[in-house]
Amino acid sequence: MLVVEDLVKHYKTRDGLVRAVDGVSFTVERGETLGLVGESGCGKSTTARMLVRLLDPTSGRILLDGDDVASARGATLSRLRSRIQMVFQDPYASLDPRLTVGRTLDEVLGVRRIVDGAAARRTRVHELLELVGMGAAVADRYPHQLSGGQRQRVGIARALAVEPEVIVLDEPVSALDVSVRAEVMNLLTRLRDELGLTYIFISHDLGMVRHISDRIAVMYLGRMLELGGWQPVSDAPLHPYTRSLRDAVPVADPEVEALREVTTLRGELPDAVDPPAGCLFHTRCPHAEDRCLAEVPDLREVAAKHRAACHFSERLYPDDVATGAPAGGVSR
Amino acid sequence: MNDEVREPVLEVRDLHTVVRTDGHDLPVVRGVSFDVRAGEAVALVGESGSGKSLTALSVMGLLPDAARVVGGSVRLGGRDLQSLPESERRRTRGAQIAMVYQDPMTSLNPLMRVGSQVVEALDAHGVPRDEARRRAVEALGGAGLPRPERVARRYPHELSGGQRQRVMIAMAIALRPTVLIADEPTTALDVTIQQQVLALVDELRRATGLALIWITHDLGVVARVADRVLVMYAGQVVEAGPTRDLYRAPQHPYTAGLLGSIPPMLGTERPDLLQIGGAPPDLARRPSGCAFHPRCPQRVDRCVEEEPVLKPRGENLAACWVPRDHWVPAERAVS
Repeated sequence: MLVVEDLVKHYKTRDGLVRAVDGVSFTVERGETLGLVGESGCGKSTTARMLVRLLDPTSGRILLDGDDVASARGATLSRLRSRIQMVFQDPYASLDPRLTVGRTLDEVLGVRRIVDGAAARRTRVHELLELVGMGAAVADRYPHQLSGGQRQRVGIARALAVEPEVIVLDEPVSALDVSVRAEVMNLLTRLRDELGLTYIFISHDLGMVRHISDRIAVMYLGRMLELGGWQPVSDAPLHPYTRSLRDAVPVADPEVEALREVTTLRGELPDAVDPPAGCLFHTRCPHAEDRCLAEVPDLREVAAKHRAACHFSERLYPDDVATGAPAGGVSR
Repeated sequence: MNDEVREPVLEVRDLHTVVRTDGHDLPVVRGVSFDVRAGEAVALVGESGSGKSLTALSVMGLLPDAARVVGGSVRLGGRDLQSLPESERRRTRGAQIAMVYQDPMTSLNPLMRVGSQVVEALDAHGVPRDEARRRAVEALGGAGLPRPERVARRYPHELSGGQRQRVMIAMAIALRPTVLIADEPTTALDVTIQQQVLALVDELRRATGLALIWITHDLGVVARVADRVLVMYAGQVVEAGPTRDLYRAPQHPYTAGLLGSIPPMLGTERPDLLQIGGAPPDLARRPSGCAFHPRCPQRVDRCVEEEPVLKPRGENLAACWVPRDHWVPAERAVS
């Protein structure tokens, strides 16, 4: 349903050209959730903003059932925009503090002419609030009167107001208290299954991405380094960067932690203006060889439906490549 | 080394702190007690408003103007810090107990080279200039900064977030304190950089016998770094115990809820996450009885009326009226 082809976003800065997103391609099937995971500067949020055209891509195509979001204008663009919506990290910053929740939702319904007539819109506002697990009374509240979790529910209701097919979720639970994250995650899962939604779930938190995604894409310095089913990518990754990322994430189980051999990744993220030649990860990679400095590895199919951009995946992880790391899109 | 025989270097007893709000004293830390021994890592875990950071600032004597300690004692190496005059307390800070914060940019002077800032911290404690310069470079190197002489000449904005946090750690350890309080020092960092900082602090603890208090909301970080844990909620410790016991058999429904709300990193099943309804309370509107009762799946009438106190439960201490073997299975989902 969603096909992203060679998406690029470059910025000219005083220090030079920043390749925020540098040739990213992926597809997402209807009803599927693709997780995009990576650290700061990897280009995941820039990708998110291009998907909903908050940012214009430098080049590349974003095809929604064949229509190109990247080049659309005017009426075509606004039609496409109501099919693909975004939920932001900080619901507080994305809601107008002067408007009640009801007004915010009512405006979306009115402007997009989804529902005609004030009474019908009011009914729809209440339906939307109910859909995200809140009572109709919330319609009369202002954003500052709500908790973080409630505000994020309103952010989700606003995205749902235009009845989209695809929702881009950009760090939707990262700003919330730990005890509130679970209910928003459960809500997102329920809405996806009930409404048949397609998600692009973007997060720096591998645990959350693992929990909700059918497939996972790992990004680093504007490129995709690995792409495959949620379980192979998170549990048996075929790229050394994904391995390091997984090692770095502490597991909330002291007995597991005590047994883990965590290799601490050396160095820092390279300068985006002057990215390394060859493999982008070679400056920090524990397995880098001469070839990695000279030759950019392709994102190639290393195991069934599992792609990694590393010259040496087979040699580094023979067992995981051999077991074929079961194809993506398995059970939820 | 046996924990029982080691004397605690820091003893906090029945600490009470209030914040002046609209003419009233709002209790924000309510009867917090804990010990830390040399070489030990104790985690203070909690969400926003739990009082974990104010507990740390109370221990440091660095509370903001509106806040003050109104009860309890803080003993460092046997001396009661509360009874010391401010001048002497200032000498203790840095020399014996130091703190690193979440955002190094707010604690570093943007107009001063980072090396000079470490030198100044040493100088303030009477270390002669020449020696201070040598020790500053040594501390920057000890905090894992490559080519510390060069880093010393940089300004904070010329460094990455991870490097700035290393500078903060260098400043904190330069005077070789016995206790280090780390207040969410890795929350703003990427996970691979967080891991570098966790490894660094752990190495310092092992090498120097530093007593560590790690303040965080991240139960993964706690599992990786802490020997013991205190779980805070609405200004109080609701559960405390050795990390393994507390995770294996949490004795407070809040701890159990927090642990259940985290997606597992293993296994093929992905059931809905355990959810705690509601949100952490506004301290100005603290619920009656047990502060957690409005969100608690195990609530009984007594919880609404009477405040539970910390009591031994299994290997842990927990402030809950309902013993674990009487708990009903907590609901998963349906939002």
